[in-house]
Amino acid sequence: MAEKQKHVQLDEIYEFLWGELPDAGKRFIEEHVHHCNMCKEEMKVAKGIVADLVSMGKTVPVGLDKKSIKASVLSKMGEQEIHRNQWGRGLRLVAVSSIAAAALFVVGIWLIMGPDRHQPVITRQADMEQQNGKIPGNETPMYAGKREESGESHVGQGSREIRDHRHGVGEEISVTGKEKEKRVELGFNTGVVLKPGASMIPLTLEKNRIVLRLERGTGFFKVDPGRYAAFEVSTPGAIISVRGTVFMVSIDSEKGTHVRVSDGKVDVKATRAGANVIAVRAGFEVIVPAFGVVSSSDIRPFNDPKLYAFTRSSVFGERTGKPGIAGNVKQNRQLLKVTAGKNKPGRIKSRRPGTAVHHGGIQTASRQKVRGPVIKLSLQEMRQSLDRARSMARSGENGQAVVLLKKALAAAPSKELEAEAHYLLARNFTVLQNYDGALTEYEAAVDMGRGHLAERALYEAALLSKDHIKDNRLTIKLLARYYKLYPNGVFDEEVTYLLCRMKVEAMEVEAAVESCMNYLDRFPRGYRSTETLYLTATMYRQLPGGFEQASDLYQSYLERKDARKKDEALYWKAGCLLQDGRKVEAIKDLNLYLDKFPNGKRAREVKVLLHKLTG
Amino acid sequence: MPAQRQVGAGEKSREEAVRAYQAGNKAAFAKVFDAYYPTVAGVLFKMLGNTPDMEDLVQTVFLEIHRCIHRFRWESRFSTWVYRLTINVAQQHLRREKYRRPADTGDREPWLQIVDPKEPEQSVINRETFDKIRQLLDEMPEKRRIVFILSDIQGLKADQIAQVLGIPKKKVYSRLFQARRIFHGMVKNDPYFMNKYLNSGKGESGD
Repeated sequence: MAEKQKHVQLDEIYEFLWGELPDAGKRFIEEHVHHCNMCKEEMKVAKGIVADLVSMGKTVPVGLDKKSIKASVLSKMGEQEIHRNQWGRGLRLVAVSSIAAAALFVVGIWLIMGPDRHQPVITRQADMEQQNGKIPGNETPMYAGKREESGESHVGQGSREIRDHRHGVGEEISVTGKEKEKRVELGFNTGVVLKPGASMIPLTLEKNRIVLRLERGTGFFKVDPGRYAAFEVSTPGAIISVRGTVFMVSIDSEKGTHVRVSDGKVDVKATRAGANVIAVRAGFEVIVPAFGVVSSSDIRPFNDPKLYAFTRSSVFGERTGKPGIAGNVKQNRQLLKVTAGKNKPGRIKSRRPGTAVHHGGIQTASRQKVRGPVIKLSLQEMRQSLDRARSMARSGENGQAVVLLKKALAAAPSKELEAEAHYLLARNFTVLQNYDGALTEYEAAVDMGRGHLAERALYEAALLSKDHIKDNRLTIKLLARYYKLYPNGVFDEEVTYLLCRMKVEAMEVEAAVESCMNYLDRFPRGYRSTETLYLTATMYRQLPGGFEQASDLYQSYLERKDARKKDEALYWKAGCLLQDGRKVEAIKDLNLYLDKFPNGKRAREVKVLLHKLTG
Repeated sequence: MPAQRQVGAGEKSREEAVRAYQAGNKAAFAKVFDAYYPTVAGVLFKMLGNTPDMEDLVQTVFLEIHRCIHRFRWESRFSTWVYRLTINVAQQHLRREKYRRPADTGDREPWLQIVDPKEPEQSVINRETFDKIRQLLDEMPEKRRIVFILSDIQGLKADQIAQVLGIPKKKVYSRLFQARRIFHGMVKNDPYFMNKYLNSGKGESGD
């Protein structure tokens, strides 16, 4: 008991350090520790522990790729939502089918008990009118399902072979992998062809407004122009708004939403808050990444024969069997085949250097050109395009240069010229501050290009990553790639220097020392050698037992005429000597520091240190 | 000067993002992620060390937050709930894998970095200390280790730890004192720490 009163308990020491003791307790401990050596030592250790734990609490793991974790979480959240919706729909289906079964049972009983034969449940005429959209409240019914053989409606003929199913708002229409495509008609000349594996839910079916939700898979959409005030297709990653067009929407769980337009124009917007709307014209496609955004620079030309065939077809226009519709067919702007020998690619319609050239395309009655398969430019035309883009960039028209280069890229005749176009695109993107786009183009140029172009592209990509994207790891990766591919390249010295600089900044001490020594070995009098000497010394200082090497390197640095940080180098040299046990030399250097830099940044520290060392 | 517990700084703005997300603003989840990522990743690292499953575990915690956020009734701080989820995920991982970390942090990339970028050199020195502390934490019994991490490393107060773990406050104190004694004892048996604290004078200027 007496012993307990004599010394301070360990718990109390920690409570004292965490400020959890009352004032009286604090005073007692302070007084006691002042006299008791044993408790003083315990206090010292505890203080050290608490200080280290507190600084450990401020740290976060940096080896993790936060961006990729975030993207992955967001995409998995999207998947969870879809599953949840599907479960919800599943439960609804169970409820609806239970009610239907009960109703059937009641009707069956009623029929057995003697129904009134003069009052049919639903007349065929009423059924037909409902399907024609004449029943109030169901004005734009949706029909889905494969029609028998010809694809024409048999409704008007009262056939019993009708296999259409009506779908209302919120009901899922899906096509299983085994089924062929499913056609969903939304009205004259408007509809969707859902490909196997697709799933769609109509969200709004009004007379002049249709909103559809494509949950998964691919759908080809054809919308009659001027018929709807709004026609929207939403996917987990994007919203596509259209007014009279033909387009395809495809959802890829990894890549995102893929939109291809073969006629007219659509507006595409990522669902993410603050995303811009971009217009995609006929002949172009865009991929909206899942939970990402898109810009105009992501739009690219495409060639999809199936979509063009769908565009040319009139799957939703030939409903001659329906009363009141057949007469309207010709009055609407129907897609017509106009070029290249009746549906076959052949005659070239137009050809201008610097633009993508099309043939075998189709036109609408309003003479709007629709892009068809792209043909290659000649080498001369491609070179002319590149020259034009260069002169545009020189005169500050970078945006126009990008458009021209993209068109040229789509019709590039050779890989070499394509690589050059990618390189020029990257430079223009850099000026336009689209750094991610620039990096992608540089990478394409490196992959496709050869010789000096690829080398330069790789070097500039590394500089872009260092200066603008500020991604240390990526920069090291690109520099290391350069170093490997072009060991005696034009930018060899600069790349070797940058590599060590990046490693120093990343605090990869051993790798940095190795890189720095490599630079000094290869370029002992290189234009970055003085700077590298300083960096190498600083890194050696971090290595266990590296003080001797560090002090030597600082000395070499101090002997250089172009050394700019002589005061710092002298201070650290003294520090290294001290750590290495060479006290006398250290004191000499500290005195030298005070002589040379009496008002230096470290002068005060040096004085204190000298006072301690010399007593 | 006593050591400072840094809890609650910026909690209001973080909780606003959570409320927005709970109200149906899905875009707010990105803010929630950014706000609580350091907490989640930090606690998981301190509990489990340098495990290759770290990214999956961080993902799991955030997916749990997304899945269960509608159940959160604001009867405690949101961060308390996040701690609870994180610890659950870590404990599940330990149970499933019967995880015992080898002391192999040297071969891998550096995970830890001092938040203050003005002192990059210090991070190299501290990394060794942190590795050693992690090794010592592994030696501690799990329940005490959790309390110790939450209190002395993460800086949570006893009542908050009691809420996180769903145990009485007295039990928190009891486990904390035991944990501190165990840790202190281990440190005293380690020549690295004893050299550091008693010879370098850091102990004197620790606070």
